[in-house]
Amino acid sequence: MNSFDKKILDAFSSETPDIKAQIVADCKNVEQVASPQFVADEKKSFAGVASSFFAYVRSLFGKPAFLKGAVAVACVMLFLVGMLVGNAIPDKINAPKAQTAVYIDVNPSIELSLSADNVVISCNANNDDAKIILGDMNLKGVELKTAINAIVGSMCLHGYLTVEENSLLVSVDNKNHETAAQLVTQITDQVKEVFEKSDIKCAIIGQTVEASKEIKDRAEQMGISPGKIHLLDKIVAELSKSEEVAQDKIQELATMTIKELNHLYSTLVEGHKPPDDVVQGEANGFMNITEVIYKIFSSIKSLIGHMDEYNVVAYPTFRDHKLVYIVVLRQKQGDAVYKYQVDLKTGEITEIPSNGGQSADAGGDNPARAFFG
Amino acid sequence: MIVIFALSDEKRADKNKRIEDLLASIADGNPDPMGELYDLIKTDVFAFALSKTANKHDADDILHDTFIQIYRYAKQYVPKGKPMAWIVTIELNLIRRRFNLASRTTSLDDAFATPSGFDLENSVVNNAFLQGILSTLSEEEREIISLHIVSGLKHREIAKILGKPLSTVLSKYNRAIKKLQIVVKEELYE
Repeated sequence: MNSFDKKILDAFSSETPDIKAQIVADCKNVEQVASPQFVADEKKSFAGVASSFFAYVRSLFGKPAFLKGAVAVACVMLFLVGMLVGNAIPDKINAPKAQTAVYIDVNPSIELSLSADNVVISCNANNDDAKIILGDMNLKGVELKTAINAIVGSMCLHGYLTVEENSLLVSVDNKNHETAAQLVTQITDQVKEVFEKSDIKCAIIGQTVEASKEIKDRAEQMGISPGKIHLLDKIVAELSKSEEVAQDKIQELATMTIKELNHLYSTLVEGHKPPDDVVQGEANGFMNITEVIYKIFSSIKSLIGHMDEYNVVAYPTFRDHKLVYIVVLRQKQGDAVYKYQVDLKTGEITEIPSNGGQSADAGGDNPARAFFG
Repeated sequence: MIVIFALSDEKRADKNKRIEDLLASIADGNPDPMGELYDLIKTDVFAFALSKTANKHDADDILHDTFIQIYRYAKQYVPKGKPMAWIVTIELNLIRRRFNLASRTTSLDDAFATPSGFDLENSVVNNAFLQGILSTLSEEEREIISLHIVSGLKHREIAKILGKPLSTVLSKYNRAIKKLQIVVKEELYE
């Protein structure tokens, strides 16, 4: 290290606080997270067997130099064998055909292609966050259950699934709709089981998706997964039952987190959930509809009088990149109509002018609306 | 020159070996080795946090939280001789989460402020040269400098962690060094 580097190091070092005692004390109250299941299950795959083999060699010899040599020789041999075998067998026999695509979205977006017996054929990271999640993991040849454990474990490890960020979207695409629906249930149950043992209460939306070329093209164009596009389409369809939805609404919705979309969708379809959809748990940190109504009445009681004097209609939507409830109060014995927008995260109430652009009318047939009074 | 690099590599390997030994003890549920681990890598962790946030208070918090996460997930560390890459990844995710949350909860005025910009007037950083580093270099330049010079990571390791091409890392590193040399010269002539 030269003197210039040392000067930089000393500069940072001089400002580093001494919180050693506090850290050691705090750690005594922290529960350690056990090794994820996939470490054990990985041994079923070739990568797992190879990894165990090299770990065994390492334990025998413990010399990195030897190990590097052994790895190099093994790699060359594998390459040569692969060349010979690969050239001798036609490609069609060599590669199992993908039967199912599974899309897992938090913010990391991961796509798994599965064979007919639910073994991973390929695993793709659809964004930068997903690359962090997958890291050096090689899930090819691994059973679906193991792959899901590994991915969810890594999402927790890297802080994408936490007490605050607790939502996951699982989408399954298979030509056989029944198979797809079964897989949705299987995967969501498995994820739920993982989280039941932890402090994190995970909210999961599971859905089947027919990822047509059109959906895939749109997904690629918007840089999100076909599963997320499908969810956005369903949300737009639900929202259009309550209000006029602008053409570019889907672009705005695409900027929402899975947690926000999860909350919005599960509220919109409450009471009339499509049979193949799985909606489990609650995305935390949002006000529920009852809290919203009471917040409005407690804030403007002096202005509008008692709650019993009004019919109340409320529904969730998305405005200016915020998840909000639109609440319409219609006087039972009179013509007065009040419209409010409540930010579900901050609780901020904004009055919408009656002749304003938002069509927050009290009609419509959206079952997700809550009626009071 | 070659000897210097060789020694430096050897020192680094020793440090990594010690970190891995400590992580193995910590993985047994023993928090006591966290003290030695803190002494060993506190500046590495703090420097990266300060480089990313340019805010002493945020960096202090991230320093604390990173060590708690290291303890929490120590069982999941697979020894590969590169413990700092694992630790930096944990820290980077903490920082991303912190700013993602902040960007969704701050007021409109705060949203227009650059999170990585260094505010000299309200700074609680006392070291003049560190103030120079924070105010002269961009966030990317700072993180590369801290990871290479303080944590001793190689440029290609930094490129992998930050998800940037090696050529970008190298050019930003060289540009940062040139800028800092000017800062040092100005310090001398002041």
